[in-house]
This record gives sequence, structure tokens and C-alpha cells, in this order.
Amino acid sequence: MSMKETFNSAQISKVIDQALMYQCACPAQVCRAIFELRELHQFQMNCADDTANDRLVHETIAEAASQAHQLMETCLERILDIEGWDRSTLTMPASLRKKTAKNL
Amino acid sequence: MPHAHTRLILIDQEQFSADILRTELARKGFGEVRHVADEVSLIAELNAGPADVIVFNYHYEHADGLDICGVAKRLAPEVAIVAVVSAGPAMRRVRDWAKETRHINVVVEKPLSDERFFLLVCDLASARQACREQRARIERLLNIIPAEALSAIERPADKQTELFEAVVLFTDVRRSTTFITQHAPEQYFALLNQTLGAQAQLVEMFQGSVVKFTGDGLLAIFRGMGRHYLALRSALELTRGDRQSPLPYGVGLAHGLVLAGFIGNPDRNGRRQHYDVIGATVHLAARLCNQAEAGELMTTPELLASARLGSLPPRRASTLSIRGFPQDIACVGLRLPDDADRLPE
Repeated sequence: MSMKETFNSAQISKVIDQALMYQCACPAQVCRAIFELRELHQFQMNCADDTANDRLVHETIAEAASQAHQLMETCLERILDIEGWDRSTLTMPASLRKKTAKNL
Repeated sequence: MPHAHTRLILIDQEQFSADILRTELARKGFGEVRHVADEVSLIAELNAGPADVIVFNYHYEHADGLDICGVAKRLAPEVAIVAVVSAGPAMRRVRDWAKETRHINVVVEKPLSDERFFLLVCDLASARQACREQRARIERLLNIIPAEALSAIERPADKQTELFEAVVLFTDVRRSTTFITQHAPEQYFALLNQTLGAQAQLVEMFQGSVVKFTGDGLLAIFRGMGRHYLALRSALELTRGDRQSPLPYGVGLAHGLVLAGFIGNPDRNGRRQHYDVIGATVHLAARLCNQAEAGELMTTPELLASARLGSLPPRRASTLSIRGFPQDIACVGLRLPDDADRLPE
């Protein structure tokens, strides 16, 4: 059971790298959640299935992680649009950079 | 500003994030944050002055940027490097690299939340500052503690006391009371330190070890092969040094067994202990020094013979009665002639 990914690791990392500080990094927090869900999903897929019960537990968690992941990726897409990020380069908009610098 | 004097180097290949970090660090009281983006600037910054902490902001898209931490660690191995890294694969990559190379001390996850990152940098800067102060204190202590004591303290407690053959050398300023009364205390101390400093240099030049300064003079020992020769040469150079010294002094030299170790109560964490050498040989050398006139060396004919120092300057012979010694001690006084440019080899 694989998980559909809209954003690759490089793209998500780029969003986090630009956000840097927590107080001006709402998209970055979503990005971190996406990474965590991917790790959770990967972990479940690699877990040993010694019994039928084990397999069912791992599949249930993986399925939930996959759904949550899809939800968070959609969320990321939407907030990037709302904030005006360039979707092709994933560059933080100048207005947001100014706002970040001003907030600090 | 608790870290106003802390020198922090920020490695960041992106100007925008560097500006944010620099602003935040300045807000937290870091007075000197130097931003570099490449190895050349980093080397220049490290050469310009010692850093207290290095912060490295890692960007996933500059995967080869990690090498700069290797350069920093090679140039400033004692400075802690804190890497700021985004969660996910970047974190795994940097952690693996740090584990393999040991070039990064701490990895902190981006986005930087609460005060954890800044507290960490503050702690590292404080630790570095404390380390620097400790080192300065050690340097000062090394000036005070004799080399023999440092060597002895490295040994187990039951091996810190030694009995060995050595040549013991004493110097003592003549008419010091007169000098003290004729000079201001600071002036006398300056003259004394100049004289004793020069004496210690001459002792160490001939592989001797200064055990202690005795107020107006010093006590040194010479151990191992060639000790008679080296001690005698050192002592003769000291008599020559007397002529340039503002404070005239005499020199005494004796050979025999000495007992060396820490004297005082070991139960008080060393606060009441000092390293010293004791025994009849030390006593004899001190007495010989007392007998020496200014610019003269007093020693024994046996030591003179053992030193095998070619032709020697004029000497005067006498005997010395010392309490504790069964018979009078034969002694010789040596003084380098004014025109003696070089000592016999």
C-alpha cells in the first residue's frame, strides 16, 4: 500500500527552510506534519507482521496516516495559494518575507 | 546584554534566512554575529578572531553545503557547531553526516520553536566563555606551579614522593634588606622579579627545574644524565648574569640524594600542599649559597670533578662546618673573570 504524494521532499523542505521561525511558519508546521505522517506510514509498512493481528494493526495505522497525509497535503496546497506562494518554484512571496522581517 | 562580547559566526547560504537569524540573535543579546555564506568568508572570519559558537543554517537544496562544517571544525575544533535543519529527510541526512564526521555538535529542527534554540546557543556561548576563563586560569597556575610538581601530580598518590640523586642549586640576593629600604616596594619587586626571571631562564636553559622562589632567590634541581655538568654550567652562567643584574646575588650548588613530594595536608583538597625538595643535600646547597659572595658560586670539589668542565675560572677553597654533617665540608668558590666571553665546554 503506497501513499500518493503531491509534494516531494525537496519541495516541502524548501518551504520549511524559508519559514525558519515558528511564529512566522504556518505552512512549515503543516510541512512538518506531512513529513511525520510519511514517516509513520513508512514505519507501519516496514513493521514485522508476525501474526494476523499485527498485520491488521499496521494496515489500520497506515491507512489512517495515508488519509491524514492526503488531508494535510491538500491543506498545504490551499494555504500556499492563500499566501500567494509561487507554486512552480515554491518561493515565499515578497510580501510575506517583508511581513516576517517586520514581525521579528 | 549577557552575550554582548560573544562572537558568533552564522553560516547561511541564503541572505533572507540569515537576516532573520541575525535579527533574532541580536534581540537575544548576542553583540557580534558574523554572517558568512561560503568557505572563503568563513576562513577569513575565523582568522580574524576566535569564535564562541558557530550556527549553521542548512538548506535542503544545498546538499553539499555540509562540507563547510568540516572546514569550520578543522580550523576551530574547540568551537561548538549548531546546525539548524528542517524536519524530514534533511534532518536524517544531517544527523547521519554528523554522526559519521563528528563535525556538528548539536542538530536543531526547523522551524525553530519557542526559546529552545536560543537557550542552547546561550548555554554553548557561556560554556565556551567559562572554558576560556578556565584556560586562562590554568595558564596562570602553570606559571606558579613548578614543572616537577605538575609531573608528580600526574602520578598515583603513593608514587608522588620520590627519593633521587640530584644537583640542588640555590641563589640568594645579597644585601636585600639594604635594597628594600632604599627602594619603593613596587620598585624592589620589579627589580626582584626581573632578577629571578632571568635566573629561572638560565636554569631552564640547562635543563634544570625551578622548584620554588625563596623570597630573594630560587631553589632549582637538576636530574638525570649529565646533571653535574649542566648544573655547573647553569650556575656559572648565573654568576655571569649577576653582573648585569641590578640586585647582586650568590649561588650554591650541591649534589646528593633529595626527597621530593607534596608537603602539607592532603585531606584539604591540596589547598594546603606545596611541592618541595628536602634533605641534607638541600641544606648543604643552601649553606653553600650563604657562603658565596655576590657574583660567586660555592660548590664542592666532588661536584666540580664530576662535572668535568674543562679549564675552570679561578677558585678559592675553604671548609664549611654544617650541623648534621659528621665532618667539615670542603668547598670551592668560583667566579668568572670579567673577560670570560665563553665558558669552557
